[in-house]
Amino acid sequence: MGITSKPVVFAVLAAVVILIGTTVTVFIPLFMPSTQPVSASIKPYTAVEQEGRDIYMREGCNNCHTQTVRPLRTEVLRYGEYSKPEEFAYDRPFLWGSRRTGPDLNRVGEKYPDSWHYKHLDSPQSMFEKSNMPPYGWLAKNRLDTQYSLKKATTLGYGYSESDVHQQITQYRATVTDENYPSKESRNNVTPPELRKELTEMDALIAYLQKLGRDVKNMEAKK
Amino acid sequence: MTPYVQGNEKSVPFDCSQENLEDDMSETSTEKYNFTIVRGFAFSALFWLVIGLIVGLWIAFEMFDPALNLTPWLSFGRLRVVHTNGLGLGFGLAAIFATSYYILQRLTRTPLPFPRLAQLHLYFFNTIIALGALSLFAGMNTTKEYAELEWPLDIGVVVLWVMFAINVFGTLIKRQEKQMYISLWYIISMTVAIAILYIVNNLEIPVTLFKSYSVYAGANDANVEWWYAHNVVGFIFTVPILAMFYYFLPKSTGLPIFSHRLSIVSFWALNFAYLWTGAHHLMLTPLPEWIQTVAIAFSIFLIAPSWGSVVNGYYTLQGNWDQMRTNYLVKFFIAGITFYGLQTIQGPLQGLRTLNAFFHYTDWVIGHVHMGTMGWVTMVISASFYYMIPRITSTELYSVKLANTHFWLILVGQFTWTITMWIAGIQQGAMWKATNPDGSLMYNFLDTVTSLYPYYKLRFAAGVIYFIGIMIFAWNLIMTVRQQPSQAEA
Amino acid sequence: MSFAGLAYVLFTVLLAIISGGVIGYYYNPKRKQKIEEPKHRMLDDDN
Ligand code: HEC
Ligand code: HEM
Repeated sequence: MGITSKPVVFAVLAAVVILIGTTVTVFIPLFMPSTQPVSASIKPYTAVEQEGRDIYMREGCNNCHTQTVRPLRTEVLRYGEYSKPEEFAYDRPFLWGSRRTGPDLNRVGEKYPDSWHYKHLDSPQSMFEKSNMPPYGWLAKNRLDTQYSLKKATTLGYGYSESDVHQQITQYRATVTDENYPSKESRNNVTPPELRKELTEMDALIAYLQKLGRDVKNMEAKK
Repeated sequence: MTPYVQGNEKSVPFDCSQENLEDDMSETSTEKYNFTIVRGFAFSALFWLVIGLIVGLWIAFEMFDPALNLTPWLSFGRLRVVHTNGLGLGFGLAAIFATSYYILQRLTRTPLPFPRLAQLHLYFFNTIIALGALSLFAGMNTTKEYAELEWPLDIGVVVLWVMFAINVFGTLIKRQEKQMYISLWYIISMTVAIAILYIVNNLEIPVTLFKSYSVYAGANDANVEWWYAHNVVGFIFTVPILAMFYYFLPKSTGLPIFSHRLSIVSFWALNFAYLWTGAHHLMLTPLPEWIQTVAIAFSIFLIAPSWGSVVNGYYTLQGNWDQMRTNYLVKFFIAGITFYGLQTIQGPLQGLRTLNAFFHYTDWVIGHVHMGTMGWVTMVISASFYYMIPRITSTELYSVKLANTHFWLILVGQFTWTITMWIAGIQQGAMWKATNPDGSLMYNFLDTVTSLYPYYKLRFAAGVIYFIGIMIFAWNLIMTVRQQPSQAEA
Repeated sequence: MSFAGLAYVLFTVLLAIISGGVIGYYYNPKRKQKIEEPKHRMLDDDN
């Protein structure tokens, strides 16, 4: 009787039926600039920030933290300005998340000094006794691997040259290893002596956290 | 003991065509069909189920006591992914492969055309899942939910799927039964849909062997991902489970399904509407509003085809409800389809903007998910295995009493688990929103977390009860095949 | 009515017609016997 006795036709028909909704709600929006608008105020991640983002992904921070503030009154009160689509133009993949076991991080950049993050990542419980966030002290004990930084930036189309990447890395190393770095003490507390003159994974992760929501302030200011 | 289960004396012989009768007389089913593969996948499913649940208990504990974050690879962020993938891909897929290979052969009355390929499929599957678990422990994680595996393993999954599809379509093309029964349609649409979903969502550019970046950025990536994630739930945790339900419920009761035409209409409506709804996971995010609105509309529509199956299930037992008592398998199916019915009402409600604003990101959703997985999915798979395993090994179930114990433990475990999370979700949602008379926030974030610890402890306890139920399930099946060694090896 | 609004309405009507057609076809009493047959046949492949 009809298609139920023709498996191949049936499969083709099923594919067509499945692809209609897919085309309208997924494929076509991919080619509509309004889905993911861009803004000149939103800059790509530096090589170090990108490494930090990759560590964020590796550790699965996204399983507890979201990165999108919804346009709801109490949410804006808690986290800050709600998220704008332009902010995510360089996010591959997106890290909006689906569960808030911890607070949203889309506006965490520049909320705290670096020292706060060194201490917090090393042991959340030392700051908030009952926090269930895992301690990440070992990130400060891993040297940051930058051998693929250039390749990553190229793959992501950030348009950095080899010397740009090199400079971004040396510059950030200079910042965090500087004698006058304001967060020197907390950094030294968690970083083993042999790595204090190098970049660690925790340095990069913090660079990334500090970038979150930073550029959008400029974008909003211009409006 | 359970008369209906053992045979189908109750069934109505409608039209017995010649060739089938001859076939059936010359050979027994264990000789004619390839059942070793069914058995291999069934026990793989049990293995990954137990592993996935142990990891689940581990992360449940970490949520109220971070002391279990002993090493980087045991830290919550990495482990949660091992849990979801271990159960979704490991347990879920293996159970689907086991039952699909069985259902396909029986409903077409045709042995698998490529048994060696199927055997290879089994080994390859377990290799990929094991490598997948190891790589996730190691932090190789693309972070796209239910698509976390890195690109080399993605290719492995695609190969795996092709191996399966060849046998699916091979069997269907060579089939001896002209009409395809409902379960076969669902198997076909799963085979097609998962292929499309998996490939589109996992398009990524490799940087190294262990690292890649998605080809989509920002809101587009989110849209593709939730189109995938919602439908992978649909086409792995709904469609093939319905295939099992439509096959094993009539088989184990001897009662024909209530309405074949209702299932036809539901089938097409479900397949059509599901794909539009992914964006209900992205409510109030920067994704364009029209995509969200369309998703809400189709989510509400989905109640209809979902309940088509629920109604079909209930009405099948019309006039024979005594089987709830006399036939231990019926309980599993009816409890399972009931949870499916609840799930598909709860889901569309969660999709409504105002409710979503309240519940999204809280444990409410976790409760919703687990009613589906621990209730609907596991209940139906359990009963299907209980029906299938004794048949493919020409023996009887080791113990119906243990099966009943298993049923009650997973029912109580699951219910306690999900209700606890619903309450936790309501509480957290309310605390996030609460403001003082002067308009400032009433609670800081950490307070809204620590106030949930009692619920997390209760959830852990419920998980232990559920886990014991599952261990009994595994034990019962192991003892069943051990009773009569190698009978099925024909 | 805006163009978008009209498009939504027309699309909804189109879907309603298609599903009406599918239901009408399969629920036609004269096909009942044939359409319902597989549900009986699937029960008697046991041996
Ligand atoms: C088990 C869930 C969990 C995981 C995994 C997790 N966190 Fe957290 N995080 C929390 C909780 C709960 C809080 C709030 C209490 C606190 O500050 O410790 C928090 C707070 C934070 C804060 C402070 C936010 C603010 O606005 O005060 C930052 C920053 C942060 N986490 C970063 C991270 C990073 C980076 C990772 C991954 C390396 C991570 N978290 C992994 C649960 C988690
Ligand atoms: C009509 C059918 C259904 C609809 C419309 C639906 C809708 C939803 C919605 C709106 C959410 C997101 C809520 C939020 O994050 O705020 C959700 C989450 C989820 N649902 Fe359902 N649901 C349905 C059925 C099911 C079934 C049957 C299962 C499993 C068997 C299931 C498993 C899940 C999973 C795994 C998630 C969690 C995704 C995450 O990690 O955020 N759903 N569902």
